[in-house]
Amino acid sequence: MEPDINNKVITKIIDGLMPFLHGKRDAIIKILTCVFSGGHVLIEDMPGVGKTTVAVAAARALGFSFGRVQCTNDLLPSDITGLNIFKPEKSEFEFRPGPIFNNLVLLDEINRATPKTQSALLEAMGEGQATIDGETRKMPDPFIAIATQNPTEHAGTFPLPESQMDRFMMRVSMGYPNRAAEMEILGLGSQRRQVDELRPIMSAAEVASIRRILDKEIKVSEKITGYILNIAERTRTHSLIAAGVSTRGAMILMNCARRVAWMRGRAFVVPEDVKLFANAVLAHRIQMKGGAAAEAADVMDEILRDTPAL
Amino acid sequence: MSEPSSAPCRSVSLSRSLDAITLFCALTAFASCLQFIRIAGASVFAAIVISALIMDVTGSRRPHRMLVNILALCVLLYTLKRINTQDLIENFTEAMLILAAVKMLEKKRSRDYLQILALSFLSMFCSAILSVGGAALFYLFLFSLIAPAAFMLASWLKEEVPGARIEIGGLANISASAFFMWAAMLPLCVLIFWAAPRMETDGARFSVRGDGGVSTGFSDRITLGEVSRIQKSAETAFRATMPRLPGPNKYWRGITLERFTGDTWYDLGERERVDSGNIGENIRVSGPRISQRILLEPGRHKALFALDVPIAITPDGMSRIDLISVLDSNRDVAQRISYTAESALASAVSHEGRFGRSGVIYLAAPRGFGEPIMELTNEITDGIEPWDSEAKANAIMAYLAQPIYEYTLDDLPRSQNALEDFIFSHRRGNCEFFASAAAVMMRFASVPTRLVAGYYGGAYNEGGGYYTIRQNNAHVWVEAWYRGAWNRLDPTPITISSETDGGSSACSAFREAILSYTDTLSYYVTVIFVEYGRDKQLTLLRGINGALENARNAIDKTASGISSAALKTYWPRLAAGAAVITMILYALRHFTRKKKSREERLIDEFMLVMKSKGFVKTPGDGMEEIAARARDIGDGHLTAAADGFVSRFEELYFNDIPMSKSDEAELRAILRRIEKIKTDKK
Repeated sequence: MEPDINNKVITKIIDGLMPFLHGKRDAIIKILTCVFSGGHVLIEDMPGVGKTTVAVAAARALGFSFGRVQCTNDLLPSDITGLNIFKPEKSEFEFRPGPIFNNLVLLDEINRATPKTQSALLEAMGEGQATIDGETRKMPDPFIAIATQNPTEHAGTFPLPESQMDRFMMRVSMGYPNRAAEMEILGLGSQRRQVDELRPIMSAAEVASIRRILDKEIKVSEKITGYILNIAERTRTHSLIAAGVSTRGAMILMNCARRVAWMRGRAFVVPEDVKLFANAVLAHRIQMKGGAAAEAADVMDEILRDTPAL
Repeated sequence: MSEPSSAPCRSVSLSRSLDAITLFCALTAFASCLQFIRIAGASVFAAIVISALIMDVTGSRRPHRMLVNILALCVLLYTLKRINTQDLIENFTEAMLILAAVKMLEKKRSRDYLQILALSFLSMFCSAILSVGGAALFYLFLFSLIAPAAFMLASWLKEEVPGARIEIGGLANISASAFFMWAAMLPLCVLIFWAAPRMETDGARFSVRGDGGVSTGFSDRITLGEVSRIQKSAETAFRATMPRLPGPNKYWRGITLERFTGDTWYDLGERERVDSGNIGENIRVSGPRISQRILLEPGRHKALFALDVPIAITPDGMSRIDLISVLDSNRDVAQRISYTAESALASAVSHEGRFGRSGVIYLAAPRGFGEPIMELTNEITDGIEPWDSEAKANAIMAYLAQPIYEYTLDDLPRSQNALEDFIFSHRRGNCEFFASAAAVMMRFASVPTRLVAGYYGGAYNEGGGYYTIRQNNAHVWVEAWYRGAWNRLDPTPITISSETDGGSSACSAFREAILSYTDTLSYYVTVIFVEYGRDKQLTLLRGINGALENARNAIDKTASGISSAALKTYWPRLAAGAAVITMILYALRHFTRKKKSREERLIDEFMLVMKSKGFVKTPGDGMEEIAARARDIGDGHLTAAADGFVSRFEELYFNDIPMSKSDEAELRAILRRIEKIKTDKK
């Protein structure tokens, strides 16, 4: 279901990104939701369907600094966090920040990195800071990581542990563009140059301040928190689910619903706001029982269909 | 809607649940009729029902429809043949019950269930006519509680394919609506009961039973040696509403028995009874006065009872002549008789100049009767002055009080000379033997004596504030004339008829508690429903009329500026009445439906309106999603209106803003507008 956007800021951003989206409107709205929530995104997709283009374009439009890490199994934590380099002329160490010290970081194929590197990455994502040589350095604000992962290729990878999946606000799958969109892309050729020329629509500081305002300004009624908790409760008691949604998961869903309500031009949350991205927010947080043939996303769909919304 | 989780919905077979409910209804009818039908009829019913049950459980082949119908026809023919004016209703009841059972045999369709229900109801109705009591009312209640669910299921079954199943939740819903129907019907029934016009003569005042089957308990004659065993009957004889009396000595006087023929005591032929027990106007009696309201159970009334010694009896709701004619009719009467009795608690009552007239009867014994008894009497009273009747009576009482005489209900002397057997050899007997022995001996000793038949003891019901006197409280004692008065003497060992009938073990105490409980219920049923006749209705109407009149007067008075005392006394009562009615209505409302807030009702209404437009909500759907569906099918008017409603409603609802009356009206107006929009239903 395509969300109906009634928010000027978001409309402007999406209009600006329109030439590069090619049918990925839904994905960019999800990413923007995460951006304005301060959450990270995990994109599970085949290579070459436009993940990077979308990420770079979004960073440009939002006025974010952009960093990119191509994860490999010989990638060291210091390769992403940066390191202290001795400067002989000043005879002191100088910190050279790694690619992670950017507003938006694209972590390509995060499951190729070794667990050690993954944990350094996830620490940065979870805490908003990195510790280098015993010195703790804050990430810029806002700080959004977009990690990608190839769902089909497993050789030589280190799959993210289930507990680490919780660090991502959403898991997004874009899928192949449809035929019309693909036709368009093939006709236009590579758009990287145009992306680089994209003018920022707002600044990182503005994004940060909007994000903080939204936490306070959007009203979440007790009816809605009750509804969210009912959903969480059903994931915990469902016969096919081994571990349901945590309290943090429910909290993130509530914050996500706030952003959806704001994007839809409302100052209060309705059940539809909760439902819209509930699957993207919750499905990767539940663990199915061994041998359960159903996918987490399908079970989530069923729960959302059956939980009374009013 | 397919569920990925393969948990199956719990459901039961529709016809199975109908089977169970109809069986329950039929059994209720059976239980209510059990006491009126013959054992043969009852066993036929039981046998047919059990075989039908076995067929149900094993699922074996049903007998052919034709066969069942022929069987039913046979039952009807047999009943027709047996029918007579005496047992018309009993036979009819039996036939209805057996027909219902026969119906259960065949492979049941929707209408067969309805037929079973109707037949059960008919038989139950007959039993209600026959019994006129609390039990019948209880069974009718039970039946009417269950039957609506059966009717609903049966009419559903008609629409369904064979083997249809119903979810447990659906069954619960049906039960809930059945209960609601029942609860809604109840006040109406009560209203009809209280307000419907009554016939001048009570419909139920016809003969209940051809023959009075009761041989236990109170009777107006006493024959010795006829039976060897008296069965205890815990049936209620009458109830007496009065304060609790201290002490065990409660003698309920019925009639006196004067003529003795050697084995039987009779009431005087000329029926001297004025009120009860030969107590006339010219009596002098001292002792505390006590007033009782006595309610006789239906049956063959032979006497009016009151605490010894009754002074005056005032019948309720019928004339004295009617009352006497009921007593003299010697028929069983289904009507309950009630009266108020005034008694003086005394053991002696003196007459003024009444005794001499028929005095000789109190000394008479049949010629040549009881030579050995006479000798024994002479032995006992030897040495007592012949004029000292009191001393002679006391000596005889003392003789019978010896421990060699034992009280028993079974193993009574049974022979031609039962009384002699009792006195000389058997020495075991019930109150009839003790009283007869004492009376006969006193007569031989020239002390004028008579027997008084009535009841002794009774259990006090604290809740109802009345004594229950059962048939097994029936008692006979002696009155002897000396010192110018009839003196009550009871030769029967007093231990026999204590108030609780010797209920010492836990089991009988429990039984006693149950009896007392059912008795209270039955008492109130009688007082509230059965006794409610034409006269009471008139009294009630007059009362209401008077109250209205009062109110009108009071209002008139206030209107003309006069402060009235009448209003002051009347007003609180009116207010209290209004408050009680309001509370009852509120409680009904509270219990019959889940309380819903204004918002929730609006949501329901919106969903209903949208449903009528073809947009059905699933549980997880929100209002916007429903409205969005209208948008998807491209209906502009509907979309605009629905969106308008939803956004206005959500603005209030999800901002936790309490909905005002005007908001509600505004939203309702939108709803009405949506309703009017014509759509092409899918």
